[in-house]
Amino acid sequence: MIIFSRTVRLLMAIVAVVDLAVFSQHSILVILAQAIGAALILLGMSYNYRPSSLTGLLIVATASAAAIELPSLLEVGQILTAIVSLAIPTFVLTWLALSAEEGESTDVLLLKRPATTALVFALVCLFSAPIVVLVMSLLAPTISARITPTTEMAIILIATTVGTIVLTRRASAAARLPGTQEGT
Amino acid sequence: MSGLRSTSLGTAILSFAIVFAFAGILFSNLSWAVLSVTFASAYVYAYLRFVTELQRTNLHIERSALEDISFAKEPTSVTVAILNKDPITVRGTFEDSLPENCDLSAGMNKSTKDLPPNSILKLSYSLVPNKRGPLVIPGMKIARNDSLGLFDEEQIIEHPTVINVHTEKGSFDAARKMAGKEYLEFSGMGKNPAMVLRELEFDGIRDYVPGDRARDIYWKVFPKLNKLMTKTYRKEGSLRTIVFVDCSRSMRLKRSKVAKVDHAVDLSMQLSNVLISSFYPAGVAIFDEIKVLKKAPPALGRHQFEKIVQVLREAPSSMEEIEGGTVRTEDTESNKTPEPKQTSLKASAEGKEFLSALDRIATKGTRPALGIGLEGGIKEIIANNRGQGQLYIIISDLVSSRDAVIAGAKLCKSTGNKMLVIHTYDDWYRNAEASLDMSEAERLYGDLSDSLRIEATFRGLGVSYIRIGPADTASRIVRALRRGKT
Repeated sequence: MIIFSRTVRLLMAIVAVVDLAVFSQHSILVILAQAIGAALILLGMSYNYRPSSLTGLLIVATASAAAIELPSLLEVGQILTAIVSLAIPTFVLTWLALSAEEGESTDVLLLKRPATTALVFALVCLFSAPIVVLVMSLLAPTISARITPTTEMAIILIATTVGTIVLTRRASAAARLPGTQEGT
Repeated sequence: MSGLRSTSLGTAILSFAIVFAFAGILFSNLSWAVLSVTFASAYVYAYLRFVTELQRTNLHIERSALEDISFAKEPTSVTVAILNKDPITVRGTFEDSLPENCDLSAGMNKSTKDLPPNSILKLSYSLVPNKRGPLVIPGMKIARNDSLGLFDEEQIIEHPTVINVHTEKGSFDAARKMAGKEYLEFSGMGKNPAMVLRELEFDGIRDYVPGDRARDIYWKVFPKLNKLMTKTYRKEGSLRTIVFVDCSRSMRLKRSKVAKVDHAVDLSMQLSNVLISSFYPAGVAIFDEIKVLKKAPPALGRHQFEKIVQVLREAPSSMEEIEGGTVRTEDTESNKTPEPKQTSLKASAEGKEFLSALDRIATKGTRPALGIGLEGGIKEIIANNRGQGQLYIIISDLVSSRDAVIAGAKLCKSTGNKMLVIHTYDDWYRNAEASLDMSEAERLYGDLSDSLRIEATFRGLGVSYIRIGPADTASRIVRALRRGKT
């Protein structure tokens, strides 16, 4: 597990918001929304108040998604742009916003294995459209299929839905544990 | 998504992911889909993290009862210390599960707190057990919360603790009061040379054995025989007495306010205290259909009553009979470490059939193997105390252990020991408010004639017999015995 102190978390939040702002269209409305959202997130993190952080997250995420144009995810460059400009900063901000109430004195922990699994899941979802196209071209090279943005979106959403269901279906067998101790 | 419950915040995050997906379709912009994927992956991370937290849970629980002896209907203090040995904070509401038939009287058995690594949470509370018997505190329930606030889960840590609850305190007070006032006369010949210094009769002389007291050595014959001889005495009224308490299934079945086994435990404690206070070496043993569960051999002394109380604390608790012939029990054998699960048995297929099977065996006259419980115990005592008169007081309902008691009576007759059977008459322990129809009257008549037949059998074997009900106290029984109404 990786331990993040309060200062590091604040820095990470600022870097994530700056990243989102850099890749967005620089209209006054977007910049204003991102600034308000960032301020709410930072305030929530400073005062351990989760609702404020979550509100800020929604404002920043909505403004950034509206401001970044991604016509297709079939090219590697576009996918990298999506990951760097939107996916990673939003994931970091979501985690930080949700962790805002983790505790005043304790540091926030990031468990490596769940984090790795979640990141791999996100990458697989984002790469699902090119993978499907690749598989289709290998299986039926003579067929010329037109892949529209809606089709890409459908593939990504199906992959996301299936992945979420599969990963969260694991029963928590750990919920019932034997005691490790003695009593009188 | 089996196992963990999603909180309202978790549902909200998932809803936002769906809303962003719709927004992507609506605006034909894939950045909304990327946002949807990001929110879904955050949800997945929270889920996997919480599962890992649950799996890693490493709590050291130490629970202890502050009182040495717990009494029924009296508060018993319990303290619980929970140490978090894992580097991850445990969040949620910690609740020490209360056993059945027990009320919380003071303090709190739950606390909502974040338990950081290597820190201790302490709970202190008092509970009032409603009945005698082993009280099993099954474990700790923790309503866990996810650190990101998306999930919660009820985690049960099984860590049973058994507190043996003794009978009500009033029963002890009665035993103390009776000790000075009542005197149980049940005389016989014993060979106990010096425990009581009165009413000794010369019995004979034998070779000196190292350990014999100097005052018992017959010095006059030493010059003639040139070896030491010891005088032995017979003493009237110092019979070693052991009270056998039947803890078989029929005794434990509670059909009215008082269970037979609880009454028998109270009586045995009070009778043994009367005997000890009258300088009769007394002990107790508890037995079921199979074996003698525990016993305190007959003895005198300051700590004998404590030993007797300790044995009686181990007597199994009563079982409630509710409508439809269902029996509810907490624990069958107190001296074993309890199973993690609370046992809750249906006795329509067990209890009644078991008893009727025993009855069938008894009426056929075949000797059931189940009689080895009491019989074996009596045989062992006779073998260990050869030549010394014993009095056996058996408190039983003569349902499950009838043949064992009869076999014990035969043994006593053949070996010259004495026996007193205190019959906890089953019908008198039933609910008196039940309506009396013809079939019920026939059953009562049949039971009574059966009981009279058993009584005749015991009288034929030279056994004293007394039939008691829930209203009979130890002092009434002692007085009845003194008057010879047995």
